Amino acid sequence: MEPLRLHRSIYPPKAISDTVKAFEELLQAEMVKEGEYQIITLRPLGSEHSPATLRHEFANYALGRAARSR
Amino acid sequence: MDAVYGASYVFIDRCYVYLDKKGKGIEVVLRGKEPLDDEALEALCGQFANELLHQVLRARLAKRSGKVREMIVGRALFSAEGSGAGFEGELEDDFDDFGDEDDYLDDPLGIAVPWEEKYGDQAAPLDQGEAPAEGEHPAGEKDSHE
Repeated sequence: MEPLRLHRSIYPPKAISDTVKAFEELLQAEMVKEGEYQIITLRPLGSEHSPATLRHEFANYALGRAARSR
Repeated sequence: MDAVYGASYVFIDRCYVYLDKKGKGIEVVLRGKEPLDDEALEALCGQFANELLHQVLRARLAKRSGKVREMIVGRALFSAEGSGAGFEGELEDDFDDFGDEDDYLDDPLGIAVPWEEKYGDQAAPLDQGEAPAEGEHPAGEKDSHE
């Protein structure tokens, strides 16, 4: 699965860590900082959901957390 | 930026929203949760732009009316605490207008007296008995203006 590139000024670290926690039963996340971006590699833990769906839902959830924290 | 967040938040249950920095601006990528044709995608973009406008307007109005809103809420909380001199003071003035002999249980017009107690057993309310003759009181009394 292609890693997710989330800009840290848009997706604050707290929003990302909350998302990782919320998805911990569905996927494993590895995070690396690259400049202003947080690169997140996601590994699904089951086959119930497609990797693409999980990736998109992960990004949506992170955005929701970021929006709510403003 | 708050407007973009606000609009995105409204749309995250409808589609996948991805934000990224592009120079000084923000790039918004919308992707349907189900496959969408070009027309549907264009409609989605239009709706997002509308929502963005709505959020900007909302933020401006909130900023403009912020002081008034704070005053209203402050006043409401102050009154609710019971320490305010506003509404409570007015209420105390009203109470002072009542004399000591006045009682809220007083019923000078007999409004609280039940019908049976007032007119006896033979008296029947209009909806239970026959209609009274013209000019006749339902309980057999004569009108006071006659």
